[in-house]
Amino acid sequence: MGTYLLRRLLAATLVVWGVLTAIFLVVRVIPGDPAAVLLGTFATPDLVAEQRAKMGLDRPLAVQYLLFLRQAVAGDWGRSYHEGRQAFAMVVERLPATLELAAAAIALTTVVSFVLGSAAARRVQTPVDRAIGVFSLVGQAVPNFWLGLVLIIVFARMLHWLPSFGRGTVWHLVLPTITLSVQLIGVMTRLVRAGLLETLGQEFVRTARAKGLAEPAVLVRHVYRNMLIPVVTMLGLQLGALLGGVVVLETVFAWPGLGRLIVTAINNRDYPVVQAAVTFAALAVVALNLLVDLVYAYLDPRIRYT
Amino acid sequence: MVNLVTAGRSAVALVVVVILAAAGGAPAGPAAPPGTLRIAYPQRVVSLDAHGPAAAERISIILGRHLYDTLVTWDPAAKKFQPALAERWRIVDPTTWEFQLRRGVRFHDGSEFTAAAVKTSLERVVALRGPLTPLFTPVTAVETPDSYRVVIRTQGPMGTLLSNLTMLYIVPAGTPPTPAFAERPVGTGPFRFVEFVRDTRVVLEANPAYWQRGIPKLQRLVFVDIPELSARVTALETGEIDMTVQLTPEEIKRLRGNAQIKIEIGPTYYTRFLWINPTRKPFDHPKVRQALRHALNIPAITSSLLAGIAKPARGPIAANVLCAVEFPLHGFNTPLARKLLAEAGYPGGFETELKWNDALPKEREVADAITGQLALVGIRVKNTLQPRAIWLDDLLKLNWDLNLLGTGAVTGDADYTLGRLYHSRARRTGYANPEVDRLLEQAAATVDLDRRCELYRRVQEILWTDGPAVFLFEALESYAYRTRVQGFKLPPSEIFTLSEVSVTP
Repeated sequence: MGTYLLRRLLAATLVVWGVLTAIFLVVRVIPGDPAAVLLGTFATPDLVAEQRAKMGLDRPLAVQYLLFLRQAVAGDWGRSYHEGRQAFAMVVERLPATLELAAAAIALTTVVSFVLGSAAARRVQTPVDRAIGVFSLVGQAVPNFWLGLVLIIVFARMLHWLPSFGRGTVWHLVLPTITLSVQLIGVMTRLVRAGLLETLGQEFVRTARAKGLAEPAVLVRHVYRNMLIPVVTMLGLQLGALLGGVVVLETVFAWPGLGRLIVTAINNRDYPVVQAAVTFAALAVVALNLLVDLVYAYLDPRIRYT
Repeated sequence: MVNLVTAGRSAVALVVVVILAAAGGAPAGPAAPPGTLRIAYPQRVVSLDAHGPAAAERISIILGRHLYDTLVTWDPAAKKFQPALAERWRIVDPTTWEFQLRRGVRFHDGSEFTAAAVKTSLERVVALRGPLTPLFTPVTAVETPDSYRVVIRTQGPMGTLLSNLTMLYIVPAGTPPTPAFAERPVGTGPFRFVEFVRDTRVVLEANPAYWQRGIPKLQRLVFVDIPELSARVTALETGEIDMTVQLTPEEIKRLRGNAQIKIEIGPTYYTRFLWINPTRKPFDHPKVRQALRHALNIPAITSSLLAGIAKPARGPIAANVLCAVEFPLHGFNTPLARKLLAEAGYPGGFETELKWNDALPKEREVADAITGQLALVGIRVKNTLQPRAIWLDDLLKLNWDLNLLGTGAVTGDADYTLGRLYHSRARRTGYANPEVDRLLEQAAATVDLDRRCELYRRVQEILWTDGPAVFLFEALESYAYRTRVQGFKLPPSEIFTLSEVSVTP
C-alpha cells in the first residue's frame, strides 16, 4: 500500500505539473489583452502599454513561464489583475459556497437514487420500474439551467415558497441543490438498479440467506457493499466536476462559488485567478481519484495494490 | 426483501416530509429590515476604490456617489456647476484655479476634511494609472496655502477642469495609491462602508454626520449581485430586492402589469453607434460613410427592438451632455444610399465585416438588423460576435471594418466623448481630420463655457455629416422599483443616487 501510495502521489504531481503548464499556455493563447480589458474602452494606448509592463506581460513567454512555475512551487499564485488581491486567497474564499452546494447535491443524489434504484430493482418490469426508468431518463436529459429557471418561476415567483437567488439560509440551498441533483439522480438511479439486480442474483447472496442471516444484514453486508464500487466511482467523478464549479447554475442562482469566479476571470483575462482556480480544481480531481481508489480497497478486500 | 421495500418507502416519506417542511417553513418573500433598500445592479462590482482601474465603470461611479463627495457637481437643470466640498472657486489666471473648501466636514473615520485630502486625491488618481488618469494629467501642481484653500495649476488653460472634478471622489489625506484602500473605503459621502462580499453584496449604512441636512433618508443601502436578468426581475417580483435597472423591452412590458412595481424611463449620457474604420477601403471614401447613414432605418430599430430603452440619436453625444447639439435625422433612404455608393465607385456594393460584443442589451438583435438593412443596398456584412476581451483587443488595435459599440460621456462634458474618441491622436477610429483636431484642442484650452460649446458645435457638425460613425441611438435607462420605494428622482444620466430616497415598511 505504501509503495502504491507513493507511486500514485508521484503520478499526481506529474498531472498537476501538466495542468499548470497547459493552463499557463491556454490563457496566453486565447486572444484578448488583459491590460485592455482591465482599462476598458477608456484606455489610451500608452496606458495599456504601461499596464502590460506592470503585469509582466511584455516579457518573453519562457521568462513568464519560469517565473510562474517558481512562484507556484512557493505557493504564490500572483495577484488578481482586477482586484489586486492574492489569487489563491480568492479561490479559497469561494470554496465554502461551492463545497456546500456540492455536498448538498451529493447527499440528495445518494438518498434519492438509492431509494428509487432499490424500488425499481425490487419490482423489475412492473409499472413502478418503468416509471422510475422514464424519470431517470428525463432527469438526465433536462438541461439544468432550464430546470433552474423553471423551479425559480414556480417556487419563488409563483408560490413565494423559496428564495430565488443568493446564499444564506438552508432555504437558499433547496432550489440549486435540486437543480444540480436531477441529472445526477438520473444517472445514479440506473446504476443502483443495475448493480442491485446483478448482485441479488449472485451465489453469495443465496449463501448468506441460506446460513440464516437476517435480511437487513444480507442487504447491508453483502448486497449493497458489493454493488458500491461503480457507484462510488461515479460519485467521486461527479464530485470532482461539482468542485470545478457549477458554472451555469452559479449564474442562474447568483451563487458566489468557484464556477462564477472562473468564468468572470476568463472573461476578464485575469490570468493569475484563472491559473489558481483551474489548478485548484485539477488538484481536487486528482485527490478525489486517489480517495476513490482507497475506498475501493476498503469495500472490496479482493482489490490489492502492488 | 420486504424490509428493503419498507425502507425505501420510509425514505420516500421522509424526503416528502422534509420538502413539505421546507416549503411550509420558508419565509414568503423575506421582509427587509426597516429603512433598508436593496438594489440589484447588472454590473459586477470589482472594486470600491475611487481612483483605480475600475473607477470608470458605471457601478463604481454609482457606488462612489454614495460613499464619496466631489469638490463640485454639475446641475443639468440650472446648467451650471454647484458647490459641494468646495464652497466657491475662482479663476486666478487661465492656468490657476483657487477653491475655497467647506469647513466642518468629516470623513467616515472621523478625520477632518481639509485641503490635504484634495491634494492626496488628485495625486492618487494620477499615480494609479487608471482610466481616470488622463482627466487629470494636465494638472501640474496642487498647492494648499491653508487648510481650507486649494490652488490647482494646469499645464495650459484647461476648460474641462470643473467637469473633470465632478468625477474626482475625495479620499482622506495620506491615502496611499495601493489597492488596500478598496478593502475599507473611506469618504465623506452620505453613506459609509459596512461590507463588501464579492459577487454577493455591498452594504452601506447612513452616515449620521453627513454635512448636508436631511440626507440620507435610508438607514441601509444594499447592492445585491444577481448576474442574470430574469433572476433579477424575479427577485424584484418576490420582494427579495426593491429596485433594479436596465431591463429589456419584454421585461418592461411584463412588469407594467404588476401593481406593486413602478417603471420609469430616464435619459442617459450614453450613445450607441456604428463605427466605420476610414483607414480601410472603401470606408476612406466620405460618400460610402454617407451612404451608410442613409441605408439604416434607425427609428424602425428603436421603435420595435429597443422600445423604451433607446431613441434615435440626434447627434454624436447624448442630448443631456454639456454642449450637445441636436441635428435632424439623416433619413432612411435606400435609393439615395445606392446612388452614393455608385458615385463612390461601388454600384454593386461590397463585402465587409461587423464586429460587436454582447455586453449591451439587445446588441444581437441590433447587429442582425443592421446586417439586414445594409444588405438592401448591396453591402454584404459578415456579422461577428466577439467575446469582450477579444473585441476590445481588436477595437484598440483598429482591427475592424465596422464596429458596434456605445459610450457614455461620464463627466457629462462634450470633451469626455469627443476629445477622447475623435482626436486623431486617440487612434480610436482611424479618423484623422486636422480641423477636428484643431477645434478640439482649442475647446479643451478654453475656460469660457459658451465659447467652448461653440467650438464643440462645429466638431459635432463635422462628425455628424462626415465622421467615422453612424450615430444610432441615445440609450435610455429603465428603473423598476417596488412601490415601497419613495422619492426616487430620474437623474439626467444613468448615474443615479439614492441619497434622497426613502422606503416605507
